[in-house]
This record gives sequence, structure tokens and C-alpha cells, in this order.
Amino acid sequence: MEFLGELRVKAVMDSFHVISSFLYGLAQRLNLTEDTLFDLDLAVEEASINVFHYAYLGRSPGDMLLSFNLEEDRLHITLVDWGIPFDPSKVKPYDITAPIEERVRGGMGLHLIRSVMDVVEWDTVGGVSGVNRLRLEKRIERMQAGSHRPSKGRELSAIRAVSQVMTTTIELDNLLRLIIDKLVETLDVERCTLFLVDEERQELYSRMLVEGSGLLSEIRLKIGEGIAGHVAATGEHLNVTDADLDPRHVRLFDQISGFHTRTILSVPMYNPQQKIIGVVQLLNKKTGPFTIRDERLLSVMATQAAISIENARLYERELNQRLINQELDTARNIQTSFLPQSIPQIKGWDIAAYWRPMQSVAGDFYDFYPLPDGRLAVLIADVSGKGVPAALFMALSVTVLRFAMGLGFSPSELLYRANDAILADQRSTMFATTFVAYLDTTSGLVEFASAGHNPSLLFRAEQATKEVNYHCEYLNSVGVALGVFAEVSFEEQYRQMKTGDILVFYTDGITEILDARGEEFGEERLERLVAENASCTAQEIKDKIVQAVSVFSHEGTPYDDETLVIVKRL
Amino acid sequence: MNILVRDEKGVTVFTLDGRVDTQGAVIMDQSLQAAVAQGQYKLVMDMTDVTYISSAALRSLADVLTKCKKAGGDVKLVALSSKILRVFRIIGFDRYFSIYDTVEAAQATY
Repeated sequence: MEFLGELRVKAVMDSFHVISSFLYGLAQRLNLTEDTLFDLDLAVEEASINVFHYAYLGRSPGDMLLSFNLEEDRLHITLVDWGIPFDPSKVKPYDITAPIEERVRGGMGLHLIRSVMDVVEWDTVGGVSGVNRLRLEKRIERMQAGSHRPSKGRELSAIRAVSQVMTTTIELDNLLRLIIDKLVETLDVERCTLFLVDEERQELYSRMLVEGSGLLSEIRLKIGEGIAGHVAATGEHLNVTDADLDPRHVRLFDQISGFHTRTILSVPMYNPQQKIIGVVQLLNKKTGPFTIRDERLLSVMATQAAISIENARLYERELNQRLINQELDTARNIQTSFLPQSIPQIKGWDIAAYWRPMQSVAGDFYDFYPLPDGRLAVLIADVSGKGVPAALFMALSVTVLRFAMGLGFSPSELLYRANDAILADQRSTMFATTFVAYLDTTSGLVEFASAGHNPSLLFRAEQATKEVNYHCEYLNSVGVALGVFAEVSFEEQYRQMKTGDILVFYTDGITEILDARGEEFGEERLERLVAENASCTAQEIKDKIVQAVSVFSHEGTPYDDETLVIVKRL
Repeated sequence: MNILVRDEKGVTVFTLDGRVDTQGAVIMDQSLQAAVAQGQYKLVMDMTDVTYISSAALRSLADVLTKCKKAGGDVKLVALSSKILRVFRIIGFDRYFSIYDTVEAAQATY
């Protein structure tokens, strides 16, 4: 099976002329008869319409991917969309004998596709938003050699040449070089320059020049300046018969390269959205001035070239995204390895933890650390910002805090030392709010300090039974987030945990998540959940909270990392 | 696609060219519906230069034909190429539309 080409478009009506240009290019390349092209055109249009109308119904339109493969004289076309599953058996069969007034709705497109193609098959992979794939197959007919009308011969072969480039090459730099080669060859010119639009800088730039010069350093032009700049600004075609007399011609490039420009033909390259993405400029036709015919021919080739350039860019972007995703996966794995690999199992205590990054990596973290004196340190932190920078800062903070915990400092001393170490190590403006508690697992005494972190929640079992309602305390102590100011001190406090008491450490991703109306989840809901489930295990309480948060936000995208640690005294 | 409309002795003649695809059909339909809305029910479609047609255009033609017939008129087609005629046959429309070789022949039947 020979791969002919692929086209990815947005599933909207405006994509039609790209699709039909693509098909036209393919037809030229394969030398298809008009009848075969007509049938392909019809089947692909009807199938695309189906996708455009129904696949992304009720949401913003996604993509459609068209691929073309050739197996001897059979053309295979695949249409893929990522929308609502399509079930062809649900479409009413088209009755060609029904009265005309009943013919306005549905079924006609499908009937046409089945009539003009040899094979029509659908399959759907996945659930609600899976992959719909339509496979079409048709035996193609090719034109006899020499059946071109002679007057159009050159144009057709030129268009075919560019179409061929367009449907086979994906890598942008190669593609540009090939397009230029083809243009120089078919239009018989001394030089061809292909400018692309740099939208940010409102400039045109050229990656290369031809004629043995290979890759030259980049040429840049302001849009509006020079011949090419004028074409980019106005969309006009310019046919300059004497460059020396045209004030718009920039002589500087000639002076640098020692080339003498006599005649210029310059046309814009329009992308499928009718935006100018570049300018093609031909210099010095070898056989005389450029004609109207050259102009028309170049303009058709420029459109084909624009489509292929857009395609190549799309591929580059996808490829980059895939690489980024791979790196993020690696980063996530590294980061997950920073977190405790297991939950401490301590007699008389029940502990559970939950960590969910908003993106692939998080700025939140928690830690359990057995102190030299036998106590257990529990730590939770939230780094400002998200994504990779936050993750890197988190790695720094974890390292510093763990090191300091091993040295036997009290909670407030620990934060003080860690703060100075972090400030000494980093030059960014990031910071981490941190809450650290030392738990004496024999006596139940909790010593704690906070560096600007949310207060932790302490549910009191005893008072809850005595009073009508439950009773919760918030453990808070004064302190600024780590990484902000040097030499700041932290307050230290302690509490006594008794049987049934539950200590909940959390980050603001839990309490500040919003529902559809913009209301925060809040501490009160958290308190109530802990109180209502106080007799459950730490694991169950954790699950209840996670579930409630998810329901509250309608399983929407979390806006922040979510971290939760539950410590219950049995 | 381009569309040209002219009135000749109480008959409205539409001359189309190029691709009457989904987007072309929108333009054609606006033009046809406007004629019907003005009470013109005797229509002739000159398709000599039409190179392509898709289901959207066929649906529009079916809708307009139904409206015209109810009002005692008709939609008559002129000079369908073999490719276009094949599409009409595939969906069985050839039996509802009268097809003529020339605009004059179509006009003369009204």
C-alpha cells in the first residue's frame, strides 16, 4: 500500500475548499479521469458534511483527519473524527421511490456515498468521545497518456509537481526547498524566494534562497516594505517588468548577493482560512517578461504550497506536543518518587494520604518522616504556581526540609533553617506554604508550626459526643511562607490528641475548589464530612472527602493541585 | 459557483456554473427561495456549465420543486452533463424533474 497523503482540518464548512484542493492535487498527481475525481469529490464531501454536522454536535468543532493510500488501482480513503459515535444502522435507508416532498431530509448523502464508492465501512472505537473511522475504497480510472489538452499541459504538470510535493513531504524545511525547486524548474526563472509571515513581528522572513546558494542567512522584511512586503500587506499580485524602475524594489539584497534583479513576479500564499501566510517571489524569467499566464499558474501553485506548509506546521506542532508530553510523563514519575512510597503503619494510629496534581506535575507535596527521637513528622506544602517550575521548586523544598528534619530541630526551628536554605539556593520568586507537625505516637502530643499554610483541622471526638454538634479546632500558628523573607521566625504550638481525634492536613486545592455557581467548597463542608464519618477509617474519610470535592465541582477540571493527609488516633 | 437570474416572459431562468457543492448550494437556495417568495413558480435551471453537485443542492431543488408544484408551477432543468445526470439518477430525482436540452425548449413548455 502506497501512502499518498494526509490532511487534517477543523470540522467546519470553511475546510471544504482545502479538502477539494487537496483532492484536486491528488487527482492531478494520479492522473485521474474527471469521472473518478467527481465520485471521490462527492463521497468525501458527503462524508465530511456528516462529520461537520453531527460529530461535534453541541460542542466546539474538533478535527477531521483524511488519509489517502493507494493499492494498485484501488484508492483507500479514511476519514477519522473524535466526536459522537456514529451508527450507520440508525440512519433511515434512502427510498428512491418516495415522493419528492419527503426527500428533503436525511439519508441522501449516505446513499450517494454508497453508490459512488466500492467499499463503505464504519467503525467506532471507544466510548462517548471515541474515534469514528470511515473507510472508503474505490477503483480509480486514470487518463490515457497524452490525453491532456496541449495548451494546459505545462500548467497541469506544474500543478501536479507541487501537488506531489505537497502530499508527500511533511518536514517544513525540506518542503520549502522542494517547492522552490519545482517553481524554478517549471516557470524557468533564475531565482525563487519563499517568504513566510512572522505574525508576532509583522515581518516576512525567508529561510533560504536557491540556485546553488543553499541556505543563506535569514532575510527579513517589514510587511508593507518592498515588493514582497507590499504583496503580503495587500494580497495583490505584482508583475514588475523592470525592477530598476520600481521604487518598491529593495536593492540591498541585490547588493549583498551580487545578483541583478530585472523582472519580478510576486503573489501571496493564502492558507485555507484565507489568511496570507507568505509570499512567493520569482526573479528573472529566462525567456522574457512574466505573462498573465505565469501569474495565474504561480497563484494556483502558491495556494497548493500554502496548504502543504500549513500541514507541515501542524505536524511539527503535534510532534513537539508529543515530545513535551513524554517529558512531562518523565517529570511526573520523578516527582512521584519524591512522595512517601508507603503510609506509616503505627500501632494506635490510622493514617491515609491523597495527592492529585492538576497538570502532569504538581507544586503540592506531603511527607512522613521518622524523627531521630522516635516521633513522626507529618508535613504538607503548597508551592506557588503550577507545572514544571512549581515542580522544580517542590524538589528543592523537599530536599531541604528532609535534610533539616534529620538534624533534630523543633518544628519552628526546622522552618527557620529550611527558609534560609531555600532562599540561599534559589533566585526565583517562588514560595512554598508549609505546615509541619511532630507527632508523639505514644502520648498523642502534637507539636506544630506553619509557614503561611492553611490551618490544619483537628476533630475532637470527646467534645462531639458531649455537645449537640461536633467540635473542630483549627491548628494555626504565625509564620510566613518559605522562600519569601530571610531570617523570619515561626511560632510553635502544641495540642494533645485523644482517642477518636482526627487531624486533617490539606492544601487549598481542597477547600477553595469552586462549584458551577462559583461558590467555594470551604472549611465548613470539610468539617461536616469529617464529623459525619468520624467513625470510619482514615482511608474511608479520605475517600469521602475526595468524592465530595469531585461531586461539588461536577467532576470539572481541578483548578489546583489537591493534597490531603488524614491522621486518626485510635 | 456563480448564479445569474433573469426573467423571460413570466419564467425565471437561473444560469449556474462551476461547483454547486455544500457552500454553493447555500447561495443557490437563497436565490431560488427569494424567487418563490416573490411568487415566481415557473423556474428554469440552466445547468450547462455546472461541473459538480452534492446532496445539499439536491435537497434545495427538491424543496423548491415541491413549493412550485403546489402553486401550479414547476422547476425545469436544462443541459445536465452526464456526471450530474448520474447523480440525479442515483437518488431517483430524474423522475420528478423534467430535463431539456435548451433553455428555449424548457421555456416553451410553460
